[in-house]
Amino acid sequence: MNNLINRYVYDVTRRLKEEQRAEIDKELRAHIYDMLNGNESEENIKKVLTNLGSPAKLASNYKEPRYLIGPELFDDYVSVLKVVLIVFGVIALISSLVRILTPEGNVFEITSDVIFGSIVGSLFAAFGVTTLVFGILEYRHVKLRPEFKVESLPQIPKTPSKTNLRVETIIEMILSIVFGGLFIWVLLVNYVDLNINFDTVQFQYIGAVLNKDLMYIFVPLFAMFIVIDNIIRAFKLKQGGYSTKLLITYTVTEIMSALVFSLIFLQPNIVVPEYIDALKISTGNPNVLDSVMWVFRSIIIVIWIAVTVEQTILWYKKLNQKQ
Amino acid sequence: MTYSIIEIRGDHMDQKAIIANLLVELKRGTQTLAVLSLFKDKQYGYSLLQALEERDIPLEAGTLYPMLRRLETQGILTSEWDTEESRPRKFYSLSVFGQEAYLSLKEAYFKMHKDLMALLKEDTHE
Repeated sequence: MNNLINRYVYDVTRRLKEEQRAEIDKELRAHIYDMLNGNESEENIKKVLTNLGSPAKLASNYKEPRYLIGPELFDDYVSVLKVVLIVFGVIALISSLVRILTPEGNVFEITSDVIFGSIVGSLFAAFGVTTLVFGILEYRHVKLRPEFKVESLPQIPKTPSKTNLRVETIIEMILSIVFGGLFIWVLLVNYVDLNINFDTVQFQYIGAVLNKDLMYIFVPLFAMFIVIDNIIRAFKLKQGGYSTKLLITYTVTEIMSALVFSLIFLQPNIVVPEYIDALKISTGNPNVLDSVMWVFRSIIIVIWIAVTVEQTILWYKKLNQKQ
Repeated sequence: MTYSIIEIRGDHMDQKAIIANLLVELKRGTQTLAVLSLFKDKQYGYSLLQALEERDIPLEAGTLYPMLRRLETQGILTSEWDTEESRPRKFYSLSVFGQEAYLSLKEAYFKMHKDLMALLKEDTHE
């Protein structure tokens, strides 16, 4: 019944690092035969192997514990995961409801597609991205083992908040990467396939919506701003808040990115002329370009308001903290 | 005797299991010391197991073998394969550094034992 011993040793060594396997294989066999004490009956082999315990546990005793996300980060991971899952779940639910309420095909088909495709898919994506971010943080943390310094303890906030800074910042990072990435993807695809049938008008347009030359300028800049934003957030995490220098950098970045967005989307040739022509025909409105530009202008105004409000709050907090 | 359920981090743990865990932790630190004390001359895994059992300090084989390997990578033990007999056997002995480590541990344990005994003797809650 040597077969049992072979199987046992294999089940232990397959869980170990390649370079340890041969040596531990030899060691373990020697130990087992010692424990058998010359009695190699099946019964005794079974007794000895049972005594040695589960191969998984024995193998784990040979290894240092390793974590994808270690105990130090785990609580933060769970808090972030909860928020990210809720945000993604709600967005997926709303977009799914819209699709269900405006069905074009079989309702059952759409419903099952929505539940298994979009909701489950987006929840898995949310889980995956969060886990990836924390996995990287854990890896960096284990590699760097930053030394604890009393000076780097966070300031106690003037207004006590329930969420902690780390959780908040990591959620911001994940959302900015995911939605920034989605926006870039939409801009790069830059393609519509419209097919509208009114009573009187038949309208079809297939092709680009936004000016490609402008997009080739905007997309790299936008991607760069996402990267810079997240580098700033990483520093914020490390320092436990905004230092004055970091906040100045953040303010400059935000104003620059709002400026770039405004400059690009206020160009009169931002929308492809063919698309405007198609819109003119379909809507019967010769001034459709004005309406489109008005939408862009509104978006830009909202962005500037958001930037102003955020910066005002941040600077207000910062200056208050100093006093 | 009845055991109530205590909630720890959402897990349900029996009080009996908690005590068993505490005992395991209490023993863990002394296991290495017990093993090192047996190295007057070279030893192999099973001889150590038997020696410990004779002295009523049973250590699981699944704990001892990985421990020997760890002590070897730390340079506390050295090893050699004896291929003279019918089956190869791995013999371990204490290195010079291991001897030094053992003496430090032993000294620390004696002090700990003395201090703890004094502490435990003055306890008033029987």
